[in-house]
Amino acid sequence: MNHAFAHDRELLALTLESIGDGVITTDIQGNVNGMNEVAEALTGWSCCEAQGRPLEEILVLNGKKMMQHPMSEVITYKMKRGLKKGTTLVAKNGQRIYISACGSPIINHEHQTIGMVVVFRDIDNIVRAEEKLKILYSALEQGPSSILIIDLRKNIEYANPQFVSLTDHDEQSIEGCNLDQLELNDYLSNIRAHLEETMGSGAQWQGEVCAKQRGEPYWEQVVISPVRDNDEELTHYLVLGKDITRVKLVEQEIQRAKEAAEEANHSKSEFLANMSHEMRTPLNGIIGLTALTLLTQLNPEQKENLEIIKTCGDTLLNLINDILDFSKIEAGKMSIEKVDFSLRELLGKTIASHQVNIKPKGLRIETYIDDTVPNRLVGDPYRLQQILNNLISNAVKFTDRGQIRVKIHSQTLANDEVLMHFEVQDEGIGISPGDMNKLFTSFSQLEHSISKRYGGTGLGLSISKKLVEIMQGRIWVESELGRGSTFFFEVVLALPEQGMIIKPIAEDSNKELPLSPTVPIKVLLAEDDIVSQTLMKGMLRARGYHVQIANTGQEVLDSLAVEKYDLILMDINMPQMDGVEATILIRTEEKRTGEHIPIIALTAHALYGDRERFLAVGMDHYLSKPIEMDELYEAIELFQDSKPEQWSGHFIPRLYDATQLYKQLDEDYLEEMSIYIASLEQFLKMRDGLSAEHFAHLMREAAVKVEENEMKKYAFKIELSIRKGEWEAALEWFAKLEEEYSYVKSMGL
Amino acid sequence: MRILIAEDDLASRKFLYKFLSAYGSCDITVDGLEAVEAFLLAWDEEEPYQLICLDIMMPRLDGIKALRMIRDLEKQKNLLPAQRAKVIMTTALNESQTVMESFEIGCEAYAAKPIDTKKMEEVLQKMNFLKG
Repeated sequence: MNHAFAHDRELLALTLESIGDGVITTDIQGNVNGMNEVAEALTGWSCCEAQGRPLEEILVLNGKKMMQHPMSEVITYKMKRGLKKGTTLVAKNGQRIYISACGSPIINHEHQTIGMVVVFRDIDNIVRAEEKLKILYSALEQGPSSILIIDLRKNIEYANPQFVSLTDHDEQSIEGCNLDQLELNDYLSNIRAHLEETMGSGAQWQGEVCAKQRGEPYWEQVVISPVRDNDEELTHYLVLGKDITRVKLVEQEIQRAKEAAEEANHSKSEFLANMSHEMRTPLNGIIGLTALTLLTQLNPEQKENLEIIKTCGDTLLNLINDILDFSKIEAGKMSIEKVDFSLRELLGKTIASHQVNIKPKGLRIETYIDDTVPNRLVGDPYRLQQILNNLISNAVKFTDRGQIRVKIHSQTLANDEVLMHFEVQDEGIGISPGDMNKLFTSFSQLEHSISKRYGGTGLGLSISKKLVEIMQGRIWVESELGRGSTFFFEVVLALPEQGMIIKPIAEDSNKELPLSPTVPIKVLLAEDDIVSQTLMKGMLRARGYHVQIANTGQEVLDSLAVEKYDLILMDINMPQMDGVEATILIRTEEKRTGEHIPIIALTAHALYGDRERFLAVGMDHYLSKPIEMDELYEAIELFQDSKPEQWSGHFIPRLYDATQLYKQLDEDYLEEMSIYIASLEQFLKMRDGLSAEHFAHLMREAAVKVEENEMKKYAFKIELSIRKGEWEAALEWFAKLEEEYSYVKSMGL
Repeated sequence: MRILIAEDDLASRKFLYKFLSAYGSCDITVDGLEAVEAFLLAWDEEEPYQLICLDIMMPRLDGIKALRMIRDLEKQKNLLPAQRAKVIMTTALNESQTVMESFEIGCEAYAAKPIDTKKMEEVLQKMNFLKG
């Protein structure tokens, strides 16, 4: 028996079976005559099923541009054949896998082809991985980010075109190079530096790097990360750069815009401050010197002229203040003080200042302050007064008769705060619902003709609203056309802390000050501006004070060395040594002597922060220009030992209480007219021009309403005469008016 | 000579009154309506105003409209141009538009406020108004 041969055959068969790839053999016709297990598994055909079938049926192949079965030429041409890349085997169940295959002819010792053997392998995973890689590679190559991959020795394994474009090299020369041996431009130097940092620390690095692309600035957000293999071993570093040029440029623009805005804002503040000073200075001169001249001996004509000038000046000052306030608010530069003040005194002072407008109209103001309302509060009395003044003056302006009521309530909140509730109620012309929305907007005055008739800038309510809002409050109105309006506002104020001493500003009220003070004191006036000097000197001497002038800070010190003064009025803006410097020197010296001379700062700038600055260097008080006489006197008196009496808070009633007249008013015009006539006579005899003209005007309007032309004419004539100061003529026309009235009354309308 | 002043601002009014009183007897009105009424009243009394100073910005009826009404009324009364009142418009505005309009309607002069007294005197002299 051929035992060895049989053993060989068995071994061979076993070997074939054991091969890890698929093996199929065919006869010379190309029909399958043998398959191993792997071939069975891959093709889905069993050996028995496949036996005798053509190879093409069993090893079904599919590929791009495949004209014929690739193995078909193996036997015919006695050649080995392989498969094109991407060829798939279609298994019996239709499943496709990528395979590589090699078909070889089986040639016997007589050089006869007896068949074919095809060995094939499942390379599906490999091919799919390859395809994935291909896609990734395209992405890296073509994507907008720049990519660099280096190994641990800084050899460049991969650099995509985008990266290369930033290095000023061209593509060929960079892959395979070592980073330490390449010529480096700024960008590449930067990258290398950051790489070295990362390689040292082993952590990821992120940051911005600047480069140039085609000569233009180019910004990248770069991330450098370590790359590890499957065993967590560090093998490479990846440098990934994202284009942030646009973002960067926008950033730079924003930065520039921000700086420009800050510059503009700064200029705006300076502009406001300068305008404030520039406009107030000459106005100060006008108002002040006029007031001074009014104190001298004058004939009636001069007195009248000057009073008109003063009124114009005051009006102008109010307008300027309104406009500046409004600008300040718009620029976001309005600030609110926190000062200790007395509510009742503030109210008293405010109401008193409106008396001059109420008298001729025969109106009255009543105040109601709830008992629970605290008297001492911490807030901004100046701004509070501004709001009250605005509302009260509107009430007076738009009301011809009756009462104006000011009411105050309060509600205690947490944290030592109080919600103050104010009401200003009038019986005036009222506001229509349609007009209410426009009220608090700027430049609003409800009707152009009304605005001309009632005067004002139209900014008052808008400013009040903004001020109230800054004080965490709100303002609103209720009104009925023809019956009257009530303006409400609420603000949050604070209660004073116990033991806090803050000098109140101008607390004492607006009263008639006697011309000779109780204590004549020596005042040192530090002021370099000639106009201001004259003005202040005049005001101080009128009060009986002794005045010494100093033009600079140095002169102040020199004067103090020679004589003792009771008080210093210190202008801040002086040449060579200004008021602040002088104060510092004085206070320093006083530490040695233990004395303290009161120093009041005079300043044209009244911006936020100034007060703190002055107090910080040791000033006791400050006044802002233009300085009013009574403000000045009150401030000086704060530092004197004896104080004048407290003001009682009542206004002086008129000789003739016109309000009584209104109690009888009803729709009967004749009744009205009789009242007007009576009043008119009264005021004509008293030579009270304003009141007389007022009633003559009412008379005229009433006459128009009842279409009595003669009476209208006489009333007009009376008006014209009053305006000229021709009282005799006015009385003559009045006589005629009275006659006509009696006639008409007797006849009935 | 009778002069009519129409001016709503107190200070301007006082100024004009004092200044023009040197030329004649002045009446003061505070708006356009009053001005027209005064104008009519003066006519009824057969002592019409020879000089009228109209402020342009006035409540109720502005100067331009008042001027128009006055000229219309004068036309109705068949006045010859030489017999019409001489009108000087005053205003704080500087608009050429209003100036043109007033001259078209028919005024003799135009003064911007604050009023230059020297110029005013010259103009009045040219109109043959003399200080009395």
